[in-house]
Amino acid sequence: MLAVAGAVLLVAALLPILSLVAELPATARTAIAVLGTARPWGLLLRSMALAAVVTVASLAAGVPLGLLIARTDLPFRRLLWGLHLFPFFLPPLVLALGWFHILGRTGLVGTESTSRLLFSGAGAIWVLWLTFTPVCTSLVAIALLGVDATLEEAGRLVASPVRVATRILIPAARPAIVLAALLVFALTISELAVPMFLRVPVFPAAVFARLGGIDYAPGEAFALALPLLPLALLLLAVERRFVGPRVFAVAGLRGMAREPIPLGPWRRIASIAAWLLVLLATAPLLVLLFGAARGGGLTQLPRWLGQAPWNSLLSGAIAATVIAALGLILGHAAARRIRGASSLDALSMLAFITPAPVLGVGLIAVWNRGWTQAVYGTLAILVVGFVARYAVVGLRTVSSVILQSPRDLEEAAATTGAGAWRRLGRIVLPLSARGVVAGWLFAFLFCLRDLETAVLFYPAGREPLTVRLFTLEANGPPAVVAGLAVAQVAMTAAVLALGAAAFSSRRAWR
Amino acid sequence: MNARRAIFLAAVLVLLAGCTSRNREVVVYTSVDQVVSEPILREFEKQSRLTVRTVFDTEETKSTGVLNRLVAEAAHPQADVFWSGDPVRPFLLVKRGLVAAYESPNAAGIPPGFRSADGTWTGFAARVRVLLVNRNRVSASATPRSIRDLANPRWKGATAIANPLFGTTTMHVAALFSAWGDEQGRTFLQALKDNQTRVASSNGEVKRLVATGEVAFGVADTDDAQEALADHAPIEVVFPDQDGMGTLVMPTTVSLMRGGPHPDAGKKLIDYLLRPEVEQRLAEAAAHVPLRAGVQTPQGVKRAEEFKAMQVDYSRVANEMERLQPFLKGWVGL
Amino acid sequence: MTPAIELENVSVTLGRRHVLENVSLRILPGEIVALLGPSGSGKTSLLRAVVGFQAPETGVVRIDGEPVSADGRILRPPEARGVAMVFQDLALWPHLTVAGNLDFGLAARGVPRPARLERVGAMLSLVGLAERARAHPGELSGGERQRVAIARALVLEPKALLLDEPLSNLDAPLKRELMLLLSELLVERRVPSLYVTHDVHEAAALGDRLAVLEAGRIVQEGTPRSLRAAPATPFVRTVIGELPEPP
Repeated sequence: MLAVAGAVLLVAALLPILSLVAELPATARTAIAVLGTARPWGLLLRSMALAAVVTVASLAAGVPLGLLIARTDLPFRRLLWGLHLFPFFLPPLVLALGWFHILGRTGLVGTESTSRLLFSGAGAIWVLWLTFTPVCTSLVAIALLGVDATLEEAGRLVASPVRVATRILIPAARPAIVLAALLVFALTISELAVPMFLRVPVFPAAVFARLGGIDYAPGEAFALALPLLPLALLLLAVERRFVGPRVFAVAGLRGMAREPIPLGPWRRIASIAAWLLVLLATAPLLVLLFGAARGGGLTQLPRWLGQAPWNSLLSGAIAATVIAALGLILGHAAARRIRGASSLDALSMLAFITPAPVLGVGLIAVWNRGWTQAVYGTLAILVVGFVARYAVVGLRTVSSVILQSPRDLEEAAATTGAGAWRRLGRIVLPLSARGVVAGWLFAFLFCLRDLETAVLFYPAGREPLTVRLFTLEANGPPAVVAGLAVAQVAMTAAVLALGAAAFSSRRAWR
Repeated sequence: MNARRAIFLAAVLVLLAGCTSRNREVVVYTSVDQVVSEPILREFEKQSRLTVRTVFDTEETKSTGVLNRLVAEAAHPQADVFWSGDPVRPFLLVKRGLVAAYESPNAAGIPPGFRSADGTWTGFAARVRVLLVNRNRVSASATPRSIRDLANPRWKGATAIANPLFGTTTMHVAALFSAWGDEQGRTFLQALKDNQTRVASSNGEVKRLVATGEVAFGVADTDDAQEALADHAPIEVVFPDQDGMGTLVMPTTVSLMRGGPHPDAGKKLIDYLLRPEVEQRLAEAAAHVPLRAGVQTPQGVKRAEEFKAMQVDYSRVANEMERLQPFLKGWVGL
Repeated sequence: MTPAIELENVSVTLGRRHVLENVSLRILPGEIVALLGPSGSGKTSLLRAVVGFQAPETGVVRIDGEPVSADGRILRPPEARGVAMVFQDLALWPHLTVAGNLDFGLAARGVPRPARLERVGAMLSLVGLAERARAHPGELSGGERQRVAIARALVLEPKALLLDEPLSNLDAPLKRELMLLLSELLVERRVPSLYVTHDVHEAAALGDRLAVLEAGRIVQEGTPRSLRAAPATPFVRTVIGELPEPP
């Protein structure tokens, strides 16, 4: 059974990477020529620097905020968390567009100099920091919610809350912090649309745009992507070492009801700072709405939307279902330490960290053949791409839930004679249903916000909304572009709302 | 239960695949601005009752995204037609044998300089490289008339050109090298540097620099010029070198892709795009210059027969572009 | 007679700890063997080796004479061994009803529905839970849940039954009640059973034979009388001493 799920994952994720490796010998000379110049390396360093800055900044904001949300008496912290997290589920391009409508030359408070500031490395850092900080906040908050209450209580008997927070709580969340750092780094390195929009040259964009080298060969893209692979492997190694299968409880928000640490005189300042951060990330969305409405973008929207939202929703939903199924099988195997699961988990993480252009070029190489046209020319290729890239989301979510449920329920089922499939379907699945649904929802949201993966090989005429936004952004009427961005926001919000509703109505069996 | 789920999934995938009524459609990849090309393709859809599936380019100033995809998919072509925003990209495809020859009957009206003899590409609705001159900074008598004026010391630090590594500027530089020869080309570029010519990030930025008077004049495309005029910027549009080598014309081109899934539909689309009405629409919507004679154009948009076009062998220009890449990178200072 | 369960020189190592060392034990058909030992002595590991969740490093485990684990490998997975178990934490499935919990294993074996209904009904009556058939484990009392766990194991008519400290979480009256039930069910039905406990009273009451496990080794086996007569280690002596003198 593990073999079946493993095979699906291997086909989706490993084949593209392998196919590119196979191309390499044939194009070694071009590869050396391309990589022999300074420019690619300069760009790579710049990309890594950008990613590093964004990561550090996100941690600097996210870790304290996560602590504030999870364990203090910050007012309205659940609402704060929700609003803070929401922009993460949008493609970062939307936020960049929003800030363009604020700081751009013709923006709300825009001048020549604010525009120059936005269209620079600083602007890219700003936007990406706002988009990705919620990852740090949320992972830290979830980890802290899962920390055994007695550990904290024992500390608070003898030390001040600050000491407890910094010496006991934060260290307990270390795996989450490392994971958050990795995710933010990987997401930033892969990010294509924001740097391109803000005219910041970065490596993945160069891979995507071929660095202007005219003599293109299939292996050349891989040659350009080569430096990214060791980076991805390095990130994976860090992840294995510090995070690994040791994931943390997604226990739900019950932990928030525990006796919170009182902030006292700091309450007001912390509140202001936290809400300011939320405002910085959500105000641009409102500005977009305003900009769209003002320029007639909303009225023209139906004409410009086309099939795109449907393409996004359909391909995302199917991919999420496949990912949830894979997540159930592989997540369970990973949680129960079944042999082989660890490698598959590593593979899924690698596919997530591998920058999108590498995966994209590989996917084209693998799937663009005569007998696979039923996949390549249709939405199915999007599904394959999404599954390859986001399988890890389902896997980790499910495995973290299963880790919390006792083994003996499954063992008891084994002793009554139930085989692996039956145990999975009748015992594991019902008991971890929340986790599976959560995994489905997260995977769906990741697919909806995806741009970098789909943009390379989306089937003609069947682009997801994010791609449509991206292609029109270059030279469409700003109000229409803003309107499309608003549509993306609305679509995401609707899915989130439905998901939250479905979630709260599920009965938990534990 | 999982087996059932798998079967359900498989069924959905098959359904998706079957959903595409592959007979009644045509696939076109285009690097022409989506805002311009999409309405025209929709018109075609209505008239022909074929479904048009399009892949648009993502950044008009920089990327060769669509081109890359065409090459990446060469093993099993997905596109029927390539509608290019410039005449050079098709050559890269022709060189790789990805283009099929097709002489559309509607190509007859296009002057021979703007299409290939073998039918691998046909140009129409063009952009032209023009000088945008700020009327407030430049008096009528001093108006520059040639590209070479960019390097004129009289205008030191007051001229602008877009980054020659991207878009239409690359083509322009390559065309100059092609016309003047290597040595003169290099000398000119060095002169630009000595003259402290501003290197802007895009044609759009050149337009802005001229409109605000930050520079006296610069080189951009006719659609940028039209935008500036529509914004009531104090600029004058000059077609350079009318007394000399002529002004560079950059037609949009259309090519039939070899091995595409719907060749007949592709030919129909090409025939449609090469109609005079489409050139007219493009003139109205995006200030593109029609290449065939007798097409109605709105105010301010010249027609090809109204000015002297630079004599260009576009395939040579394509080769020059490749060759010049390293030199240009050095010139821009990366 | 072929033993229902046999361990031959079984050793189990977890990490670097030797939890079981060269353990040999036989349970003959119809026999109830009580395995006595303090916490940490390796009782759970022994059960897990028999059931098939843990492969012994050395030695052979046989069920009804057939090797099911040997040479460090599990030859037959747990679901194919026909051995039922009552878990220490009962491991009742919370999302299934009482009847559902019993039905699960029978359905897994392909027993047709009418037969299943009959067997489940009969077993529930036997343990006195017939009216609670549609309740969920969460709604039951401690004693009721214990009965469900026992019923669930027995309804399968297993080749052997393992019980992992089934009464350890109960108070005295409940314990007495359930011990009565267990002796009725196990002794009557002659189910070969391995009953693991740290309580010598339970062991003496239910077991035909006692085996004492100390630090991963079986230090002595025999009836309570023989253990009292010649205890092999101080621990055996202490433990047996807790039992009242036989008349």
